[in-house]
Amino acid sequence: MTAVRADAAAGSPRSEVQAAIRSDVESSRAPSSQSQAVHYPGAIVPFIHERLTKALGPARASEVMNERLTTWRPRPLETAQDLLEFANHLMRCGGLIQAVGRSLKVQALLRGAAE
Amino acid sequence: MITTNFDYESCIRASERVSWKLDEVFPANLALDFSRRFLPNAITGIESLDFLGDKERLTLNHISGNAYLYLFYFVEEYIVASVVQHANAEMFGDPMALRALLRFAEEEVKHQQLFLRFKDAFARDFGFPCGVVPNPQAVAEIILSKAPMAVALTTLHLELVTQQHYVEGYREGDGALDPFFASLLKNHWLEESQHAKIDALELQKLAAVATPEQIETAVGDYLAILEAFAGLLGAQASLDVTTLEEAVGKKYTEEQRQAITASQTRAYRNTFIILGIQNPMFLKYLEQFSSTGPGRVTSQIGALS
Repeated sequence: MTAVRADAAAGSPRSEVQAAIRSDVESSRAPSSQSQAVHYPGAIVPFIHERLTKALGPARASEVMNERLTTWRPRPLETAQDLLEFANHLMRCGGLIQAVGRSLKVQALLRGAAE
Repeated sequence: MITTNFDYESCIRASERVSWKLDEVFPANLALDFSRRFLPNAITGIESLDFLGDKERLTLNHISGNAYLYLFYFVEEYIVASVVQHANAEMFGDPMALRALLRFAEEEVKHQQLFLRFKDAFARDFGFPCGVVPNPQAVAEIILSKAPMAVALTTLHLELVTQQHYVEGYREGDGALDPFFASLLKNHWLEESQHAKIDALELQKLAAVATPEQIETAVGDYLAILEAFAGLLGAQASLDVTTLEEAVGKKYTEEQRQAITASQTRAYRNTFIILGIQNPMFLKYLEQFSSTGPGRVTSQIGALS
């Protein structure tokens, strides 16, 4: 299991988007034993981390996630719009991380985020 | 929430069972046979044009058949772009979904190549230029500017109607239709029936996270796409009259031209739009995430006919 904690309050009004993405994460979770903890508020944090883990492996995924979050504005990652903005943030890295960011961006746009 | 009794894995398995090769279904340089009808009467409406002789009816049926396949080529332009987007969203996600969506996209491009091969063969063997509506890319751009759920709904609608088209041909029995054209209807449907299931699964994912406002917008956008499509089908009908006149070497009166255009428009709209709106599976999926959706959509049948 990846060591990711979503700090969003359970049962919040935004929980429909969160619950669906969380269930997506649960169904596709890959085993991992080397990841670092990623503590950041927002129900879609595990989802993003999971996608990065599949692309980069657990250790590098946590490293990238923590590094990107330190340069992210202090706001929880909750909605499709947040996902879009964080995807754009990831895309600035280039390479495989950019590919993950691009995929997450499309995911966000399909779920109603707007550029 | 949409419920289904299939998943991406079962769609892949079914797709592998029914998949076909382009050159087997349509060998290069195959000559078309114009001695029998291409399309079933139930989806052309030509029989009501009693001022047309038998030869003229048969020719108009062939013109309609060419336009029918071209119109699928036309709409598949946006479907390919849309499905590739959905596949991209599954990169580093669910591998089964990714594989199903990539197969879906590949098969749609194959269908486009099949329909273009038919269009070229028709242009070669029919003997007269056959007008078709231009610029599928511009229409794809308009459709893809709508809400993603509306785009997915439109795709589901179009995939489901292919089955009805095949069944109508089958109902007319052996020998009524050109066997080669009937095989195209069948092979198209075989793969589209898997695509319809994948559409339903994609729609399920989008509906699960959509707000009530997003769902309302999606239904409205879906109707706007159909309205634009209805206009396009009317334009195709006008082109058909000109092609018919050239092919049979005859000028129709203005009243007759209008009657043919109206009949062709009605037939295309019924084939591509009304059959989809009324499709029980389509209404079932729509109702699962929008209780008012079926009523809202079916109330537009008159305006879209």
